[in-house]
Amino acid sequence: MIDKDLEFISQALDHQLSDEQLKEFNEKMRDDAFRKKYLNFIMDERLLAKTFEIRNLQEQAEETKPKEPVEKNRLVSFIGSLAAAIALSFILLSNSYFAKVTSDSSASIIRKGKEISISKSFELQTGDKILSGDKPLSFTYPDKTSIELQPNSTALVSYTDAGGKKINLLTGDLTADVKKQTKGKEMQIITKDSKALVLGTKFTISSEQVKSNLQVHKGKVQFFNTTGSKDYVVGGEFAMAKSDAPVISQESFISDKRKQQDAVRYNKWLSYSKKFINDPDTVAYYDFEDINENQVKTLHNKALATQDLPLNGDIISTLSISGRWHQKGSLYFSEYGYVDFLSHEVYNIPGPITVFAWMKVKKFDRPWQTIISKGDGTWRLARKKHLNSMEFCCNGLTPAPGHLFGKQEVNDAKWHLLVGTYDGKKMKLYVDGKLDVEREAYGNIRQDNYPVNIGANSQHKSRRDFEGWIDELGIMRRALSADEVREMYEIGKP
Amino acid sequence: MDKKAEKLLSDVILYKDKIWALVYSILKDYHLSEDVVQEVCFFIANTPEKYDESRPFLPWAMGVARFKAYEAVRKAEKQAASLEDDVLEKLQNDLIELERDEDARILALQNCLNEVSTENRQIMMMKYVEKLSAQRIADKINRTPVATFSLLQRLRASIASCINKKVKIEGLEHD
Repeated sequence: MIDKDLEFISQALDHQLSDEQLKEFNEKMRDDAFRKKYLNFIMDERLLAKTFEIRNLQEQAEETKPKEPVEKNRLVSFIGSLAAAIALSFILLSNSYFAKVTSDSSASIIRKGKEISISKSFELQTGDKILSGDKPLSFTYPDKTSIELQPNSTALVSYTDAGGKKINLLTGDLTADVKKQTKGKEMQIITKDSKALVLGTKFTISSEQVKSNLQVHKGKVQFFNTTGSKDYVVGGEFAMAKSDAPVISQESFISDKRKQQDAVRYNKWLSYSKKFINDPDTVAYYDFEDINENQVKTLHNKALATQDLPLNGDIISTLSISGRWHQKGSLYFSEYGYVDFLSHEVYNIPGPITVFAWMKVKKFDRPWQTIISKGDGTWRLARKKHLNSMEFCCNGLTPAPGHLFGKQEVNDAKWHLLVGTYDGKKMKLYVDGKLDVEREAYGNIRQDNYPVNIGANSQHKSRRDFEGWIDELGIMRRALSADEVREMYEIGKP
Repeated sequence: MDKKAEKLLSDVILYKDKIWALVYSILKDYHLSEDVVQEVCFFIANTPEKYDESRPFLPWAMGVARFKAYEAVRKAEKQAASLEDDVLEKLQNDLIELERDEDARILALQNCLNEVSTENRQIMMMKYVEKLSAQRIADKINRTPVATFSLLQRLRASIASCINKKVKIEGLEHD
C-alpha cells in the first residue's frame, strides 16, 4: 500500500493542491518526519531522472549490438540489475576514467586535494582539476573528442547530469574538437561568465577578467552568459559573454574583397550623411560612430543646429558592435539596455516631423518593441503590436489616436531603413525607401515631459525593449520627401 | 579566476544536489530548477567578494539560491512558492544537516524500477527522458489527461514508498 504522505507530496509537487490543502501541506511540513520524507522524495526525483537517462543510453547501446541468445533466470536477472545499479552509482558518484592525456606536458592535476604530476597516457577521472603549466596540454575522450588546454589554464573535468562531457574552464583558454554528441547530452564548457553547449564542432574558448570569448572554427555552439542571454555561434563567428550584456554572435573574419566593397559604400554614405548633420531642421542625429567602450558611454548628437543643447544620450548596457558595414559602429539593444536622454523641449515637435532609423531585428518577442520613442503619448517608431511590421505613431493628431500601422514585414534579420513623416496633411511610413502606408492626418502632435529613449519606451514599466541592432537615427522638424527617402536608402543600404 | 573563486566554485559543485532540492522546493519545476542552480554556480564564482569567509559556506550559498529562485519566479511569471517562510527555513536547515547514503538509494531505486510494469516504465520514460507533458503522454497512450496525471503521481509515490522500504528493510540506510 502506498504511503499517503508520499501521495500528498507528489500532488503538492505537481501543483495539484487547493488553498486548503496547501495550508495542510505547510502544517505537515513543520513535522520533522514528514519533512524527511519530503526531502528524500525530491532528492530521489533527481536520481530517478538520471537513472532513466542512463537506462535510455543503455537501451540505445543494446539496440546497436548483435543479439545473443541468453537464457535468463531470476539469479541472472538479479545479478544484472545489481551490476547495472553498481555501474550507475559508479558513473554518478565515483571517479571513473573518461579521458586520456595525449601530449607531453608540464601539467599536474589536483585529485582529492593532492597535486599529481601527469604525463602522456595519464588517465583523467571525473572531478580532476587540471593545471596546464607552461605548455599546452591535450587530452582525448574515448569518442575521439579532443581538448587542448592552453598554457597557464585551469579546468575541472566531469559529467553533466544528463551524462554529457563537462569542463569547467576556471582560467585561461582551451581549444576543442568535439565529435558528434547525442542530442540532450551536449558537451558543456562552463566559464565563470558563460556556458557553451556543443553537439559537435571545433572552437576556442577563453576565460578573461570580466568576460569569456568564444571563437567557433566549424559547426555550431549555443553560448550563454550567466544571466540567461544566449545565441548560436557558427563557424567563422565569435561571441562574448558578460553578465551585463547580451550574447550575440558576430563575424570574425572579413575578406579583403568585402573590406574594399564595404569601404567604398561606407565612405559614400559618410559624405552623403553630412546633409543630415548640416540640415537646419535636424533636431538630433546619432550616427553611433564614436562610442568609447572604456569611458562612460555617451551617444553624441551630431546635428549642428542643436549641438549646444544637452541632447546626448546615456548608453545603458547595450553592446557596441559593427553596423551595416563592418567599419561602421552600431549598438545592439536588448532587455539589458537602451539609450536614455534627458527630457528636453526641443523634442516636443508639433509637426511637421521626420523620424528615421536603420535597424535590424534579432528577435520580436514582445508587443510594441520600440526603436525610438518619446514616451507613449507623442511620437515613436515601434513594432506593430505583436506582428512582424512596424508602426509610426503621432498621438494628438486627428483622426485619433494617431497610429499608422505598416504592412511591410521586417522581422528577417536584415537591415531596414524606417522613415516616419508627418507634413501637416499626411502621415507616411516608408520601409527601405518605399512608401509602405500613408493616411490623412492633421493637427499638432501632443507634447509632454517624458524623455526620449532609443530601444525602449520610457513611459512603460516593461520598457518594451527592442532586441536587435540600430546603427543610425535622426529626428527632424520637417517631413522628408519621397525622393529624399529613396535617396537615403539607395546610398545607405548595406 | 582567483583562488577564492575557484574554491567557492568547487564547494558549490559539491553541494549542487542540496541547492537543487531547495530551489526545486520553491519552483517545483525540474528543468527551471536546473537552470537556476547553474545560475547560482555562476553567481558564486563570479562574485567571490560577497562571501564572508568567516561564516559557513552552505547557508550562504542557500541564501543565494533562494534569492535566485525567487528571481526566476518573477521572471517566468510563475506562481510564487507555496511553502511558508518558516517551513522553507526548516527545510533549508534540514538540507544543510542532511546526510544520505546515495549508493544505497540508487540500488534501491534500481530494484524498485524493476518492479514497475514495462508499460508504466515506458510512460515514465516519456516523462523523464522525452520530457513530455502529462497532456502529450495522455495523447500517446490514449488516456485522458486527468487519468494520466493521476497515474504518474501514483507511480511516483509508489516508487518513493518502495525505495524507503528497501533502504530500511535491507538495512541500507540508518533511520
